[in-house]
Amino acid sequence: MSNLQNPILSGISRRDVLRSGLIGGAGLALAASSGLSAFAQSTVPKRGGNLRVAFLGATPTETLDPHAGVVQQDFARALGLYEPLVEMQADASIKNALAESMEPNADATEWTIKLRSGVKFHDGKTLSAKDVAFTFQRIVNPKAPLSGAITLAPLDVDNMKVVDDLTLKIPMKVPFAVFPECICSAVYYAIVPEGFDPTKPVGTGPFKFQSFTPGQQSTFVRFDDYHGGGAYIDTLTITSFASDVAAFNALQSAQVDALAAAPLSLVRQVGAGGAIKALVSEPGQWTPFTMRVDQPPFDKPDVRKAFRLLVDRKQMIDIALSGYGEVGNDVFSRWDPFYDMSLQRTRDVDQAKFLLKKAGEENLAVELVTSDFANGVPQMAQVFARQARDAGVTVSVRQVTPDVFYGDQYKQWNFAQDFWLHFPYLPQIAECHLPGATFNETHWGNEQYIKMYNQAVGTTDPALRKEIVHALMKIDFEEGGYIIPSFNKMVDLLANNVEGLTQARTGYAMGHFGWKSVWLS
Amino acid sequence: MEVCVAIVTTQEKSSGTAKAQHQLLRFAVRRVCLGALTLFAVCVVVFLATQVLPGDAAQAVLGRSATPARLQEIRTQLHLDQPLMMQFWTWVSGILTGDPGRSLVNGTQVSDFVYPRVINSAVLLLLTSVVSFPVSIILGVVAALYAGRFMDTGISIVALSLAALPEFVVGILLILLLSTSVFHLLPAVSLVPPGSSVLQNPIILVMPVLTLSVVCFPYLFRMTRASVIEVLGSEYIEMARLKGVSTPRLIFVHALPNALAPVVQVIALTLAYLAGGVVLVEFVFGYPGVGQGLLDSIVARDIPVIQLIVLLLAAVYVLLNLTADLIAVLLTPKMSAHQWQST
Repeated sequence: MSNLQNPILSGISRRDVLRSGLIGGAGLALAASSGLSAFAQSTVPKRGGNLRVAFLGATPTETLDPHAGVVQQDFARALGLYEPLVEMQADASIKNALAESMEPNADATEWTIKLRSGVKFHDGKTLSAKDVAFTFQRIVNPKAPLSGAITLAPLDVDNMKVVDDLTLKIPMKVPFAVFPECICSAVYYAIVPEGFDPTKPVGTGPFKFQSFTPGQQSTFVRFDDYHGGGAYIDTLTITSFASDVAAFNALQSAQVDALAAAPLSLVRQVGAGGAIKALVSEPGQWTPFTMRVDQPPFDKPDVRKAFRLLVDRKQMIDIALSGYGEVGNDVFSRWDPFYDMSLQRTRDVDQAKFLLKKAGEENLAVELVTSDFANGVPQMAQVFARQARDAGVTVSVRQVTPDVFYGDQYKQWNFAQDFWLHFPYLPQIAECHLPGATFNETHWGNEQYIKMYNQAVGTTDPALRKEIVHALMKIDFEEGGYIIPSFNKMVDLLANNVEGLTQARTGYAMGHFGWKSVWLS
Repeated sequence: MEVCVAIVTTQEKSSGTAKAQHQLLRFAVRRVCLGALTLFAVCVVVFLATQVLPGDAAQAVLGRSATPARLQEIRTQLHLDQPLMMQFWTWVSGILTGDPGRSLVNGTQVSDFVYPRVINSAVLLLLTSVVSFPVSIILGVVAALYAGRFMDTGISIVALSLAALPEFVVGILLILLLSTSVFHLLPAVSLVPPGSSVLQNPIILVMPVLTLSVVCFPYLFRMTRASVIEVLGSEYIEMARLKGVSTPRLIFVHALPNALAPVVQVIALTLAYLAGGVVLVEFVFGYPGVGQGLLDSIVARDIPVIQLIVLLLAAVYVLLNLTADLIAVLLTPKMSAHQWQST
């Protein structure tokens, strides 16, 4: 009541109410009607402008082929140009994109895909079931298999049936109930038109291709016939930098509008209230230590467990990640709907010592191979070495360059580290925990585990699947070859006028490359 | 009689000149042949060196998503499974017919990748030369004239301090000063949109040229200063002074030409340094020059690109050294081409 007596104070108060209403997303109409249009304009997304984003790690190997991307700028471009059938969102949920529905038969041996109608490719062609069939054939082509080939192995691509323009039936070689969550990204599973040529890329995404020079720059323009609500920005320019300092300087002198996935050393230089703001993501990336379960000393489960027990996870996050992380407990896929949060592990050096003694591995000395392929990775190795000393384990850290790390010896290292983005749990197992999987760094191949995995992906009953997933997670937690000390947050640095990006859970930069939602004020 | 003598001397003199020219020509031809041999040797060595590097282009393309099947497929596509001699021959025959081939990692023409960068680097080199050489030489002469006095001490201290700073430190300090922290006058990085020329947006050249000029200045300055001081102390300068020659004439006609020979050598070395890819400066400014290009292609094991860049750089080195030697011979009449050859 006293506020109302003072006209100035009451004005501020009303504005505050409006502002909080707007943030909640509910006060929009109210603001417009109350005559505070100037205020409303600054929060209603504005169309137009060119968004210039800097990425680190420039390399001439960059590609526009969505099925063969390797570095994050490849993924960033893929999410602008293309769309998958179903798509993971920034909050890690999965929604239909080009598919209107995907239905399995009773035993999950055949899937029927119904496509959204009236979807246009950038060249004006309409999306049809034939394009989807072509896409899957392109990915698994036995003569030139692409990145998603192993995940799509259950598909019987030779017997796919185009029922009509918008309906495709895909038979499976084995029951495969988790098909949609396996193909939920434009990275690796983008739908491309028949006769696709990656040098003249055509997709259905919100942005059309304009130019591309690998390792330097690529430009895209908004696709005005996009089937969903189109993007706000007119053009998107992606520039690759070799030097993080140059990229940061470019941001500071307004030559770019954003620096995606900034190194934490640069993040520390950004003060509050300046011309640059930080977008801190939800924890999504994970950088595990990988122990080869088929080689001594890690073939002994007690040694693996001891190593997991000797990690002080909180300290590791504080030191190596400058606090940008959430404690992990050695089980991946943090945002899977079935994720078991009850699996928690705290540091216990005595127990670790006891287990090592039991395994006959007192005074163990191992080499840990590390490389600077993601924020904080070599630092995590150093912290681990320090913490291991408390349990009498000598860890000598060997740092190699990323090209050596991911060269011939990748997956041969006995004790090393790796880097992952968020992916649902069962598809993640197909990537890293099955014998023959592309990234099976730990050489995990427990028979019981594989049997349970096959059962889980073969059942259409979600309750049963959840039960099996929890049992699998329990095995990961007790015996697995990973130490996952944290789920890491990533930080994008944005110019103050870059708006509309959310805190993604997926480990992708720039709010899960939110090119559709981003706008410039 | 006097006329006769005069004619004879002229004839002797001209035949002497012809002989000297002949010697100079032989010297030049010999050096060009040796240069070509050097280039070939460089190509062989670099090719072998790329084979010794762990990994190959197929691995670079696939990165961590490499599987044995995909590696095999890409190696076949890129002919990496052919014998070494064969691969080398394919490249050499391509170069001899003017076709450096395609990039292994992204399939674009190697020339499309390399030539724009060569032009960018050449622009940087030329502008830096134009800015820094005259300034360094003039300041060198000034310092020599005032040797030991306040002016000399001042410039020399500045030059020595600059010489102690690595190029990327100079670059970053200039960025802090002129772009991001103190003043906001110039763009901090030199982005060149692919397909456009650096000259379309010349303002982006200011920072890299300034940095390189600062980096090149001390060496040339000190060499000029030392050389001019030495010449100024010689007897014929003393003689000229005693005859009452004016100072400007003394410097520009008598002293400088004789002081230039070592300076030319330093200029050649500086140019070679600039041409050799000033990687650190390109790195700091994000400038697409040959140095960064070479680095990127090495990381990607993109052999045709590595080979072409190295070949071009080696050719520039050879040419610069040859030119510098020829100029030095011409500037030092006392020393014949024959003597240079034997050095």
